[in-house]
Amino acid sequence: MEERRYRSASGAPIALRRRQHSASCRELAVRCPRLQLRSLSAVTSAVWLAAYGLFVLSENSMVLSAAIFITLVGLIIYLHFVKIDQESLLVIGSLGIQVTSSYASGKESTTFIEMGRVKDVVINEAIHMQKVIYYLCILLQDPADPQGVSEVVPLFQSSKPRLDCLIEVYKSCQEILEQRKTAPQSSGIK
Amino acid sequence: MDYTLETSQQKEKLLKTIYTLQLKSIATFQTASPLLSSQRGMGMVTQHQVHQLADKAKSLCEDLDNVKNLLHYCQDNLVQRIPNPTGSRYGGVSGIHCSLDGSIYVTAESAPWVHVLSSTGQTLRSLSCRQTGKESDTFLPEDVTVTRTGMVAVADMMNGAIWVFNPHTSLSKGEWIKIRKVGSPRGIGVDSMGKILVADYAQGQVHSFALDYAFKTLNIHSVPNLQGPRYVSPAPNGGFVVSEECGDVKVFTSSRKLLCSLSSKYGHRFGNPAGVCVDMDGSILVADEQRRTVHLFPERGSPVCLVSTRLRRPAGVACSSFGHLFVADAGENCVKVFSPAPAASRSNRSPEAAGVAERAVYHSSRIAAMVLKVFFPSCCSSAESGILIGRWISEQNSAVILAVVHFPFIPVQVKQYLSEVQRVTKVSVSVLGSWSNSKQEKEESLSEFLEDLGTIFSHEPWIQISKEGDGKFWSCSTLQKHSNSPKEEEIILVYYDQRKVMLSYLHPPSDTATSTDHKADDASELSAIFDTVAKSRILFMTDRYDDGPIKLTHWQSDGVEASIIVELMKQASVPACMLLTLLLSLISGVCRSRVLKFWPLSFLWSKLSTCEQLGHRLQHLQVISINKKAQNQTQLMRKANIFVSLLIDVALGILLMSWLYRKNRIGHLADTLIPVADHVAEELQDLLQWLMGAPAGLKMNRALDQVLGRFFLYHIHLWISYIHLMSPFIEMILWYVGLSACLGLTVALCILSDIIALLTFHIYCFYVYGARLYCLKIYGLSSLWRLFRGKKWNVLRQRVDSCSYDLDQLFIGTLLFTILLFLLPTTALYYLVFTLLRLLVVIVQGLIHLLVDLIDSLPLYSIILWLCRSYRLAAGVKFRVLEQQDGKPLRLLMQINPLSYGSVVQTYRLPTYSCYPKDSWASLCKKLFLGELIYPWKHKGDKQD
Repeated sequence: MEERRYRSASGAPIALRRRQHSASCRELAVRCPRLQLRSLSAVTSAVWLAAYGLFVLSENSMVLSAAIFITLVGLIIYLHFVKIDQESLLVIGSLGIQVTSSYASGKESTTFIEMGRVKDVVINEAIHMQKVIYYLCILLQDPADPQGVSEVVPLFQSSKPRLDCLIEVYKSCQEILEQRKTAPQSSGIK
Repeated sequence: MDYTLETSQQKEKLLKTIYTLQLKSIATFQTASPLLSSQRGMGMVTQHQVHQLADKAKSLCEDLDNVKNLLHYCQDNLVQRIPNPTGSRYGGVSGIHCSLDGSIYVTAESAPWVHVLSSTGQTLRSLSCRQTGKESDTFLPEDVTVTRTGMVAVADMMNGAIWVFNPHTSLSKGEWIKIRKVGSPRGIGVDSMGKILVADYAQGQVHSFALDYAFKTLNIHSVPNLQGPRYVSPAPNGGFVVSEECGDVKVFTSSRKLLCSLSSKYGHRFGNPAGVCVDMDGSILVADEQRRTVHLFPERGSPVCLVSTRLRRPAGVACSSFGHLFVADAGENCVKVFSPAPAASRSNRSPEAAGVAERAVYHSSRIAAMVLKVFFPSCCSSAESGILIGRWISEQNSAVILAVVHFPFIPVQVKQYLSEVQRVTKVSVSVLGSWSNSKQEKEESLSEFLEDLGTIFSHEPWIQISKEGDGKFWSCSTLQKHSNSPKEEEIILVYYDQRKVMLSYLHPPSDTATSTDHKADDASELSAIFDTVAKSRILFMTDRYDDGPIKLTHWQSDGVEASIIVELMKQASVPACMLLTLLLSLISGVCRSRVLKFWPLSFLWSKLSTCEQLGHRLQHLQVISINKKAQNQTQLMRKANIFVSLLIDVALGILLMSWLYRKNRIGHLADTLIPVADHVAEELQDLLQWLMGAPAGLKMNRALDQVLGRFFLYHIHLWISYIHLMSPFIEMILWYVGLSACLGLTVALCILSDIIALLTFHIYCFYVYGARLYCLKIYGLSSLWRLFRGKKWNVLRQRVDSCSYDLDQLFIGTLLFTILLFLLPTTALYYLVFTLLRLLVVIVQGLIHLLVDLIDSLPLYSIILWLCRSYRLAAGVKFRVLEQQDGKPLRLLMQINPLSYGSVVQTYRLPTYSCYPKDSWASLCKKLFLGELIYPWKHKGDKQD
């Protein structure tokens, strides 16, 4: 297991962790920066100050309890549905690729793509908020047309690592995907 | 040196003799068979000569068998002496039993103990023969055996009883259970069908009986007329062998008929035959207490004396599956282990050993990586050693293991069982490999035995999984016999939860039509695995206590208590469905009758949403009451969803009804309804009065305003008188209409919507009048506007053409245009007000219909499944990498990824009869502006008129 530090497209520090489980099984995890206490307290105090201002004007204590309620619900929703702590990619040769994103609350959403459906893993570029960023994506095979691509699954959508990090991940993935391609050929020669 | 020389000369002579015999017989056969078939008679060969030749050949064959046996076995090959684990306090060892996994069970004379030894002689366990609860109540086991379920059974001659040790009781140590009283049991054994055999010494009988899971004895049979039977042993063909005191050894068939006695068959004289056992080849071994020997009686050939010396008083004998012979010597108070056929076993295994060596070479040079995936059910991880059965998916190079078959089993029976399973499930189930779960250190002999199994059940590759102790890391290897290419396969062990995988249903459903179009290997791997496990459901139906011919470990359901209720419900559902179908056909027949199809009635039915809803529910009931079994998962889910939705709907409806009919709420409702209608009418009158003046300061065309106002006021007057005419009956109507709530909440809601529609009929009328007037004016204005510009609408070509008008036409047109233009605001105002009122009603009705649609279309059964048994609806799988160790295969845990809520609703949404209005907001506004009529809801297939 090794860990390296990189930066995301927006400049935030991220960590890429590589774990070799076996020759054909590799796990790559990108850890996003954790929720900062500073920003959390800033947002909370802003909401509460605004609520207090309203309370002074309207003299209705409902405003204060509503503010507390809104903060709590907002925080829960943010942690459970928005804030992603870690995005990991588990590549198991001959079985498939598993994409997992774990939220700050501990919720995990997982998608498993079978190797038979994976056409390739490539680095693509896209325009995002008036700048060009690179992203890694899995191309899925079109069952009807062996040459065609039916779907593009973008990876590391929340952390958005920069190109140097993506190249590292790309190389790791390709090493295992290469095994898949050579294996049928060798059996064919035999 | 001389000795070696002499032996080698003898060997050469023996081989030469056999070779000459073979050559001569083949040559004779080759010349004789064509001559005999072509000639009429026998030539010059006499009858005497044929008989003589046959006799000689028989004796020659016997001689050859003897030579073979004598070469195969060796005499007095003592390997080990195991001292009596009880010590010398009690008598000498008497009973002995060897189970298939190699452990030895020993009892001694007048000692209340059963000892379990490993094959090397270490004491694994000591079972004290003491009845639980009564400390003093011990008993003395005479002989010991192990039942099919792995429980120790002993014969107790003192109390005349058979005891079974049940290790699975609430008491942690287990307890002895007295299962049957027998006169004076001496020997005990378990035959190949799992029945317990007991030799009854005093009565001269052998009893056989089966045990059920509650330790009740079943199918009791007895074989009488034996002279003091002592030891009994099962024979592989299903029968058994009994030794009689100072007499003979008798062989019985599986139907308890006497086959033969050994003394008459082999011409052998016994002194006092004691222990008997049957080895893996089917030869019978008998210990002779008086002559102090052990003889082997092969199926062909004369008896061989295996042990002639070193025994003082042999009692019981037992054979292990690895070829060892255990003799309980009561005189020396020890168990002697002999290896009667060491040479033969070595020669048998020599190619195997070479294979092992070759594999070791492959290990060092990894060449091509071809990954083998083994899907292993996690419930089998604690199973005892045995063989793995499952399905081999060669396209994906993966093995789906379904169950473990334990020792002991008979290969033929396993094969039969598998072919039967295959026939029922249509899954190619086969023996994939071996599974060894050794609590102790690895035993070399066991692993060799497991490798040998690979030759019985030929499978390519032969998978060997072995678990040592409680270790998490199993070693896993494959054996490829026929491929010469040196390649090392990497193995991935994937654990799966058999129950969840069996019950879950993978989404999106793979259509059978598409899968037949593509090749079989095109189907995804996961669906193949899910399919395999789901189809082999029949394999899992066997009970834990089922004493069938073979013993399996796999997932088993725990809850069987409710199964009677389920069965009863299943039985009851068929007549219920039939009754329902009959009723439904009656109702739908009435509905389809011609009386109801006449114009005014059919028009009315199509306008009432209650009728639509009732028809919809009727269709649902028809779907449910179909007697046939649902063909696939989608249909099954649809049925279940409809059923649950109907149930909940009716339950809600009855709740509503119970609320309505309590405390005369209907009366209150009826009492408030009339004043409300009156109030609405009054408000409308006020509104009209306001419009007839100068509304919002607008100056209207007075004459037109008055005409229109009066017209509408007259309408309201009509409406109010109509309501008042109705008022005495309203309570009664409501009371009867309220009863329909028992058909469901949706029906009640539809009735409410209809009532609203009926009560606001005047608003609808106003809207239609206003809209028609307005529409007329807009059309007139637009065509006159075209006239101004020198154009006209060409009806034939559906376009606007230019046209030259006369002066008169232009004059009249201008006049009319002016009049229409000045009258427009008055009409527009009326139209606007009534449209707003109409929209209000439409919105209320729309909301009610939205609620009805929600109840109709929500797949409640799927949602309940999603909440409680989320694995039932699988979107896919997820893998978790478990701990790794170098040199051991990669271990993964396969879990089921449940479907998200959104996709559950999307997949299983029930179709509704109404669809949302198709026109967008823009087209709605355009319609409103042009004065075209709008309707709250468009019905499917219902043409707008």
